Amino acid sequence: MKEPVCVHAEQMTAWMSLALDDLLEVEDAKRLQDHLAVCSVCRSTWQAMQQVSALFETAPLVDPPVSFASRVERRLAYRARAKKGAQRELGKVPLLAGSLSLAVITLSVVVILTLGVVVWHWRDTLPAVQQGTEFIVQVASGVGLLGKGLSLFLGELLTYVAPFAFLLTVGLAVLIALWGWFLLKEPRDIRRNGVP
Amino acid sequence: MDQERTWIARAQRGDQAAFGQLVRVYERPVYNLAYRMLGDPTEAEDAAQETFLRAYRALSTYEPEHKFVNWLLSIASHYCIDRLRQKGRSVPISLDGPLPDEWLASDTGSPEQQVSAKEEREQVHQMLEMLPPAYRAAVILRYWHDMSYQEIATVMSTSESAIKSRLHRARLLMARQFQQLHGEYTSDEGRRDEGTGVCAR
Repeated sequence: MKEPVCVHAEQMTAWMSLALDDLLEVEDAKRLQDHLAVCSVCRSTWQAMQQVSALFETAPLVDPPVSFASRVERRLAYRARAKKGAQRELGKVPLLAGSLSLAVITLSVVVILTLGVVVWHWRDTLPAVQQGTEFIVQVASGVGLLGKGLSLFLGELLTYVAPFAFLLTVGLAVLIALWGWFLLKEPRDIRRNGVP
Repeated sequence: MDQERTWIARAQRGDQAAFGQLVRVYERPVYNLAYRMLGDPTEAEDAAQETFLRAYRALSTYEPEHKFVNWLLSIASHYCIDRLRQKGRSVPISLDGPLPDEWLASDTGSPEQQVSAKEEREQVHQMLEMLPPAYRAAVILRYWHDMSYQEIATVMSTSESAIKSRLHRARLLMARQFQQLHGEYTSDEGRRDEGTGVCAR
Protein backbone atom coordinates (compact mmCIF):
# COMPACT_ATOMS: atom_id res chain seq x y z
CA MET A 1 0.00 0.00 0.00
CA LYS A 2 1.32 3.40 -0.96
CA GLU A 3 1.73 5.78 1.99
CA PRO A 4 -0.20 9.00 1.37
CA VAL A 5 1.80 12.23 1.29
CA CYS A 6 1.01 15.94 1.43
CA VAL A 7 2.96 18.50 -0.59
CA HIS A 8 2.28 21.14 2.10
CA ALA A 9 3.46 18.94 4.96
CA GLU A 10 6.68 20.88 5.60
CA GLN A 11 4.90 24.19 6.08
CA MET A 12 1.97 22.68 7.93
CA THR A 13 4.07 20.72 10.41
CA ALA A 14 6.16 23.84 11.12
CA TRP A 15 2.91 25.67 11.93
CA MET A 16 1.76 22.73 14.05
CA SER A 17 4.93 22.95 16.12
CA LEU A 18 4.38 26.67 16.68
CA ALA A 19 0.71 26.07 17.47
CA LEU A 20 1.68 23.63 20.23
CA ASP A 21 3.68 26.44 21.83
CA ASP A 22 0.90 29.02 21.28
CA LEU A 23 3.19 30.97 18.99
CA LEU A 24 1.28 30.64 15.72
CA GLU A 25 -0.07 33.84 14.17
CA VAL A 26 -3.87 34.05 13.93
CA GLU A 27 -3.86 34.07 10.12
CA ASP A 28 -1.54 31.08 9.91
CA ALA A 29 -3.65 29.27 12.49
CA LYS A 30 -6.68 29.80 10.26
CA ARG A 31 -4.79 28.45 7.23
CA LEU A 32 -3.69 25.45 9.22
CA GLN A 33 -7.25 24.73 10.34
CA ASP A 34 -8.52 25.06 6.77
CA HIS A 35 -5.86 22.66 5.56
CA LEU A 36 -6.49 20.15 8.34
CA ALA A 37 -10.17 20.11 7.40
CA VAL A 38 -9.33 18.70 3.96
CA CYS A 39 -6.02 16.80 4.44
CA SER A 40 -6.14 13.52 6.33
CA VAL A 41 -2.36 13.09 6.17
CA CYS A 42 -1.68 16.32 8.04
CA ARG A 43 -4.63 15.71 10.33
CA SER A 44 -3.11 12.41 11.35
CA THR A 45 0.28 14.04 11.95
CA TRP A 46 -1.37 16.84 13.95
CA GLN A 47 -3.19 14.34 16.16
CA ALA A 48 0.05 12.42 16.77
CA MET A 49 1.92 15.63 17.59
CA GLN A 50 -0.78 16.65 20.03
CA GLN A 51 -0.74 13.25 21.71
CA VAL A 52 3.05 13.23 22.07
CA SER A 53 2.90 16.77 23.41
CA ALA A 54 0.24 15.79 25.95
CA LEU A 55 2.35 12.81 26.96
CA PHE A 56 5.33 15.05 27.66
CA GLU A 57 3.29 17.70 29.44
CA THR A 58 2.02 15.17 31.96
CA ALA A 59 5.40 13.53 32.56
CA PRO A 60 6.79 14.78 35.89
CA LEU A 61 10.23 16.12 36.74
CA VAL A 62 12.42 13.30 37.99
CA ASP A 63 13.84 13.75 41.49
CA PRO A 64 17.50 13.02 42.17
CA PRO A 65 18.42 10.25 44.60
CA VAL A 66 18.30 11.07 48.29
CA SER A 67 21.55 12.64 49.57
CA PHE A 68 22.56 13.73 46.07
CA ALA A 69 23.53 17.19 47.35
CA SER A 70 25.63 15.69 50.15
CA ARG A 71 27.54 13.60 47.63
CA VAL A 72 28.26 16.70 45.52
CA GLU A 73 29.49 18.52 48.64
CA ARG A 74 31.76 15.61 49.56
CA ARG A 75 33.21 15.57 46.05
CA LEU A 76 33.82 19.31 46.23
CA ALA A 77 35.58 18.92 49.58
CA TYR A 78 37.62 16.00 48.25
CA ARG A 79 38.72 18.00 45.22
CA ALA A 80 39.67 20.95 47.40
CA ARG A 81 41.76 18.68 49.62
CA ALA A 82 43.37 16.96 46.61
CA LYS A 83 44.19 20.36 45.10
CA LYS A 84 45.77 21.57 48.31
CA GLY A 85 47.69 18.29 48.64
CA ALA A 86 49.00 18.57 45.08
CA GLN A 87 50.01 22.18 45.68
CA ARG A 88 51.81 21.13 48.86
CA GLU A 89 53.64 18.33 47.04
CA LEU A 90 54.56 20.61 44.14
CA GLY A 91 55.70 23.26 46.62
CA LYS A 92 58.23 20.78 48.03
CA VAL A 93 60.03 20.40 44.69
CA PRO A 94 61.65 23.87 44.58
CA LEU A 95 62.45 23.62 48.29
CA LEU A 96 64.22 20.30 47.79
CA ALA A 97 66.02 21.49 44.65
CA GLY A 98 67.15 24.67 46.43
CA SER A 99 68.41 22.76 49.48
CA LEU A 100 70.34 20.27 47.34
CA SER A 101 71.90 23.03 45.25
CA LEU A 102 72.99 24.89 48.39
CA ALA A 103 74.44 21.71 49.86
CA VAL A 104 76.41 20.92 46.69
CA ILE A 105 77.76 24.48 46.44
CA THR A 106 78.76 24.51 50.12
CA LEU A 107 80.47 21.13 49.86
CA SER A 108 82.32 22.20 46.70
CA VAL A 109 83.57 25.37 48.38
CA VAL A 110 84.76 23.40 51.42
CA VAL A 111 86.57 20.82 49.25
CA ILE A 112 88.22 23.48 47.08
CA LEU A 113 89.33 25.51 50.10
CA THR A 114 90.72 22.41 51.84
CA LEU A 115 92.60 21.36 48.72
CA GLY A 116 93.92 24.91 48.29
CA VAL A 117 95.23 24.97 51.86
CA VAL A 118 96.85 21.53 51.42
CA VAL A 119 98.53 22.57 48.17
CA TRP A 120 99.66 25.93 49.58
CA HIS A 121 101.33 24.32 52.61
CA TRP A 122 102.86 21.12 51.26
CA ARG A 123 103.31 21.60 47.51
CA ASP A 124 107.06 22.20 47.70
CA THR A 125 107.79 19.74 50.49
CA LEU A 126 105.71 16.67 49.72
CA PRO A 127 106.14 15.02 46.29
CA ALA A 128 102.75 13.38 46.62
CA VAL A 129 101.03 16.77 46.83
CA GLN A 130 103.07 18.02 43.89
CA GLN A 131 102.10 15.01 41.81
CA GLY A 132 98.50 15.35 42.92
CA THR A 133 98.44 19.01 41.92
CA GLU A 134 99.82 18.26 38.51
CA PHE A 135 97.32 15.47 38.09
CA ILE A 136 94.42 17.77 38.97
CA VAL A 137 95.68 20.42 36.56
CA GLN A 138 95.86 17.80 33.81
CA VAL A 139 92.39 16.47 34.63
CA ALA A 140 90.95 20.00 34.66
CA SER A 141 92.59 20.72 31.34
CA GLY A 142 91.25 17.45 29.92
CA VAL A 143 87.76 18.14 31.23
CA GLY A 144 87.95 21.62 29.75
CA LEU A 145 88.90 20.24 26.36
CA LEU A 146 86.24 17.58 26.59
CA GLY A 147 83.62 20.20 27.46
CA LYS A 148 84.70 22.38 24.56
CA GLY A 149 84.53 19.42 22.19
CA LEU A 150 81.14 18.40 23.50
CA SER A 151 79.86 21.94 23.14
CA LEU A 152 81.01 22.09 19.50
CA PHE A 153 79.49 18.67 18.83
CA LEU A 154 76.14 19.64 20.33
CA GLY A 155 76.14 22.91 18.44
CA GLU A 156 76.63 21.07 15.15
CA LEU A 157 74.11 18.43 16.13
CA LEU A 158 71.44 20.97 17.01
CA THR A 159 71.86 22.66 13.62
CA TYR A 160 70.75 19.48 11.92
CA VAL A 161 68.43 17.88 14.44
CA ALA A 162 66.76 20.94 15.99
CA PRO A 163 63.26 19.93 14.74
CA PHE A 164 63.69 16.43 16.13
CA ALA A 165 64.98 17.80 19.40
CA PHE A 166 61.98 20.11 19.56
CA LEU A 167 59.59 17.23 18.91
CA LEU A 168 61.35 15.13 21.52
CA THR A 169 61.00 17.92 24.07
CA VAL A 170 57.30 18.35 23.27
CA GLY A 171 56.78 14.60 23.49
CA LEU A 172 58.48 14.49 26.87
CA ALA A 173 56.37 17.43 28.08
CA VAL A 174 53.18 15.67 26.96
CA LEU A 175 54.27 12.46 28.70
CA ILE A 176 55.02 14.35 31.90
CA ALA A 177 51.66 16.13 31.69
CA LEU A 178 49.83 12.84 31.14
CA TRP A 179 51.59 11.25 34.07
CA GLY A 180 50.74 14.26 36.18
CA TRP A 181 47.10 14.04 35.14
CA PHE A 182 47.05 10.32 35.79
CA LEU A 183 48.51 10.70 39.26
CA LEU A 184 46.45 13.71 40.30
CA LYS A 185 43.08 12.86 38.73
CA GLU A 186 40.24 12.07 41.00
CA PRO A 187 39.58 8.37 41.48
CA ARG A 188 36.37 7.42 39.71
CA ASP A 189 35.02 5.59 42.74
CA ILE A 190 34.33 8.77 44.64
CA ARG A 191 31.74 9.81 42.04
CA ARG A 192 29.52 7.09 43.36
CA ASN A 193 29.97 7.74 47.05
CA GLY A 194 31.39 11.22 47.24
CA VAL A 195 34.42 9.89 49.14
CA PRO A 196 37.29 7.61 48.15
CA MET B 1 16.22 35.71 44.96
CA ASP B 2 18.25 37.85 47.37
CA GLN B 3 19.12 34.70 49.28
CA GLU B 4 20.27 33.11 46.02
CA ARG B 5 22.48 36.09 45.20
CA THR B 6 24.01 35.91 48.65
CA TRP B 7 24.77 32.22 48.23
CA ILE B 8 26.27 32.82 44.80
CA ALA B 9 28.45 35.65 46.07
CA ARG B 10 29.64 33.55 49.00
CA ALA B 11 30.27 30.54 46.75
CA GLN B 12 32.29 32.74 44.40
CA ARG B 13 34.53 33.54 47.35
CA GLY B 14 35.06 29.80 47.91
CA ASP B 15 32.32 29.08 50.45
CA GLN B 16 31.42 25.46 49.72
CA ALA B 17 28.55 25.43 52.21
CA ALA B 18 26.87 28.27 50.31
CA PHE B 19 27.32 26.35 47.07
CA GLY B 20 25.79 23.33 48.80
CA GLN B 21 22.65 25.39 49.37
CA LEU B 22 22.52 26.17 45.65
CA VAL B 23 22.92 22.45 44.88
CA ARG B 24 19.95 21.65 47.11
CA VAL B 25 17.78 24.26 45.42
CA TYR B 26 18.63 23.25 41.84
CA GLU B 27 19.42 19.53 42.09
CA ARG B 28 15.98 18.57 40.76
CA PRO B 29 16.00 20.46 37.43
CA VAL B 30 19.64 19.54 36.77
CA TYR B 31 19.12 15.86 37.56
CA ASN B 32 15.91 15.77 35.54
CA LEU B 33 17.65 17.20 32.48
CA ALA B 34 20.51 14.72 32.81
CA TYR B 35 18.12 11.82 33.31
CA ARG B 36 15.95 12.74 30.34
CA MET B 37 19.02 13.24 28.18
CA LEU B 38 20.93 10.10 29.15
CA GLY B 39 18.05 7.81 30.11
CA ASP B 40 19.92 6.03 32.88
CA PRO B 41 19.77 6.89 36.61
CA THR B 42 23.44 6.15 37.30
CA GLU B 43 24.68 8.10 34.29
CA ALA B 44 22.29 10.91 35.14
CA GLU B 45 23.61 11.21 38.69
CA ASP B 46 27.18 11.21 37.44
CA ALA B 47 26.37 13.91 34.87
CA ALA B 48 24.42 16.01 37.37
CA GLN B 49 27.28 15.85 39.88
CA GLU B 50 29.76 16.78 37.17
CA THR B 51 27.53 19.71 36.20
CA PHE B 52 27.65 21.12 39.72
CA LEU B 53 31.41 20.59 40.02
CA ARG B 54 31.96 22.38 36.72
CA ALA B 55 29.62 25.15 37.80
CA TYR B 56 31.58 25.60 41.03
CA ARG B 57 34.85 25.88 39.11
CA ALA B 58 33.33 28.34 36.62
CA LEU B 59 31.40 30.46 39.13
CA SER B 60 33.55 33.49 38.38
CA THR B 61 32.23 33.48 34.79
CA TYR B 62 28.56 33.50 35.84
CA GLU B 63 26.79 36.69 34.76
CA PRO B 64 24.08 37.73 37.24
CA GLU B 65 21.78 39.11 34.51
CA HIS B 66 21.03 35.49 33.55
CA LYS B 67 18.96 33.13 35.68
CA PHE B 68 21.25 30.91 37.73
CA VAL B 69 19.18 27.81 36.98
CA ASN B 70 19.45 28.48 33.25
CA TRP B 71 23.21 28.81 33.58
CA LEU B 72 23.32 25.43 35.36
CA LEU B 73 21.07 23.84 32.74
CA SER B 74 23.31 25.23 30.02
CA ILE B 75 26.31 23.47 31.57
CA ALA B 76 24.28 20.29 32.02
CA SER B 77 22.89 20.22 28.47
CA HIS B 78 26.27 20.86 26.86
CA TYR B 79 27.85 18.19 29.05
CA CYS B 80 25.14 15.61 28.24
CA ILE B 81 25.26 16.38 24.50
CA ASP B 82 29.06 15.97 24.52
CA ARG B 83 28.73 12.74 26.43
CA LEU B 84 26.22 11.34 23.97
CA ARG B 85 28.32 12.43 21.02
CA GLN B 86 31.47 10.93 22.51
CA LYS B 87 29.70 7.63 22.71
CA GLY B 88 28.80 8.04 19.06
CA ARG B 89 25.31 6.85 19.66
CA SER B 90 22.36 7.46 21.86
CA VAL B 91 22.62 5.89 25.26
CA PRO B 92 20.24 2.94 25.20
CA ILE B 93 17.43 3.35 27.66
CA SER B 94 16.88 0.20 29.61
CA LEU B 95 13.17 -0.18 29.89
CA ASP B 96 13.62 -3.39 31.82
CA GLY B 97 16.04 -1.89 34.33
CA PRO B 98 15.04 -0.32 37.63
CA LEU B 99 13.34 3.04 37.39
CA PRO B 100 13.98 5.74 39.96
CA ASP B 101 12.09 5.15 43.19
CA GLU B 102 10.68 8.65 43.03
CA TRP B 103 8.81 7.75 39.87
CA LEU B 104 7.48 4.56 41.29
CA ALA B 105 6.48 6.33 44.48
CA SER B 106 4.30 8.68 42.45
CA ASP B 107 2.41 5.74 40.96
CA THR B 108 -0.56 5.81 43.26
CA GLY B 109 -3.83 4.34 42.17
CA SER B 110 -5.06 1.02 40.92
CA PRO B 111 -2.77 -1.56 39.35
CA GLU B 112 -4.29 -0.68 35.96
CA GLN B 113 -3.42 2.97 36.46
CA GLN B 114 0.12 2.02 37.47
CA VAL B 115 0.52 -0.11 34.36
CA SER B 116 -0.78 2.76 32.26
CA ALA B 117 1.63 5.21 33.91
CA LYS B 118 4.51 2.82 33.30
CA GLU B 119 3.56 2.53 29.63
CA GLU B 120 3.50 6.30 29.34
CA ARG B 121 6.95 6.58 30.90
CA GLU B 122 8.28 4.02 28.48
CA GLN B 123 6.75 5.89 25.57
CA VAL B 124 8.39 9.12 26.72
CA HIS B 125 11.73 7.31 26.92
CA GLN B 126 11.32 5.80 23.49
CA MET B 127 10.40 9.13 21.93
CA LEU B 128 13.37 10.92 23.47
CA GLU B 129 15.80 8.12 22.71
CA MET B 130 15.25 8.36 18.98
CA LEU B 131 16.08 12.07 18.85
CA PRO B 132 19.56 13.43 18.09
CA PRO B 133 21.13 14.91 21.28
CA ALA B 134 20.65 18.58 20.32
CA TYR B 135 16.97 18.02 19.44
CA ARG B 136 16.48 16.06 22.65
CA ALA B 137 17.88 18.88 24.78
CA ALA B 138 15.59 21.42 23.11
CA VAL B 139 12.52 19.24 23.72
CA ILE B 140 13.43 18.63 27.37
CA LEU B 141 14.04 22.32 28.06
CA ARG B 142 10.75 23.21 26.38
CA TYR B 143 8.52 20.64 28.07
CA TRP B 144 10.06 20.03 31.49
CA HIS B 145 11.70 23.36 32.15
CA ASP B 146 9.05 25.49 30.48
CA MET B 147 11.57 27.68 28.69
CA SER B 148 10.82 30.10 25.87
CA TYR B 149 12.56 29.69 22.52
CA GLN B 150 14.81 32.60 23.45
CA GLU B 151 15.80 31.01 26.74
CA ILE B 152 16.50 27.64 25.11
CA ALA B 153 18.61 29.39 22.47
CA THR B 154 20.65 31.10 25.19
CA VAL B 155 21.07 27.90 27.17
CA MET B 156 22.14 25.95 24.08
CA SER B 157 24.29 28.77 22.68
CA THR B 158 22.43 28.97 19.40
CA SER B 159 19.82 31.11 17.62
CA GLU B 160 16.09 31.25 18.23
CA SER B 161 15.39 30.15 14.65
CA ALA B 162 17.61 27.08 15.17
CA ILE B 163 15.56 26.16 18.23
CA LYS B 164 12.33 26.66 16.30
CA SER B 165 13.65 24.34 13.62
CA ARG B 166 14.91 21.73 16.10
CA LEU B 167 11.58 21.61 17.92
CA HIS B 168 9.75 21.30 14.63
CA ARG B 169 11.99 18.46 13.43
CA ALA B 170 11.90 16.73 16.81
CA ARG B 171 8.11 16.87 17.00
CA LEU B 172 7.79 15.57 13.48
CA LEU B 173 10.14 12.67 14.20
CA MET B 174 8.26 11.82 17.39
CA ALA B 175 4.88 12.06 15.66
CA ARG B 176 6.07 9.64 12.98
CA GLN B 177 7.32 7.29 15.69
CA PHE B 178 4.02 7.61 17.55
CA GLN B 179 2.07 6.87 14.35
CA GLN B 180 4.18 3.78 13.71
CA LEU B 181 3.71 2.56 17.27
CA HIS B 182 -0.03 3.07 17.08
CA GLY B 183 -0.50 1.87 13.52
CA GLU B 184 -1.59 5.18 12.01
CA TYR B 185 -1.88 5.67 8.25
CA THR B 186 -3.88 2.50 8.18
CA SER B 187 -6.97 4.24 9.42
CA ASP B 188 -9.97 4.76 7.16
CA GLU B 189 -9.12 8.46 6.98
CA GLY B 190 -5.65 7.65 5.66
CA ARG B 191 -7.08 5.40 2.99
CA ARG B 192 -9.23 8.15 1.50
CA ASP B 193 -6.13 9.57 -0.18
CA GLU B 194 -5.10 6.25 -1.64
CA GLY B 195 -6.49 7.17 -5.04
CA THR B 196 -3.67 9.58 -5.83
CA GLY B 197 -1.52 9.06 -2.71
CA VAL B 198 -0.84 12.80 -2.76
CA CYS B 199 -2.62 15.64 -1.00
CA ALA B 200 -2.11 18.99 -2.72
CA ARG B 201 -5.00 20.92 -1.22
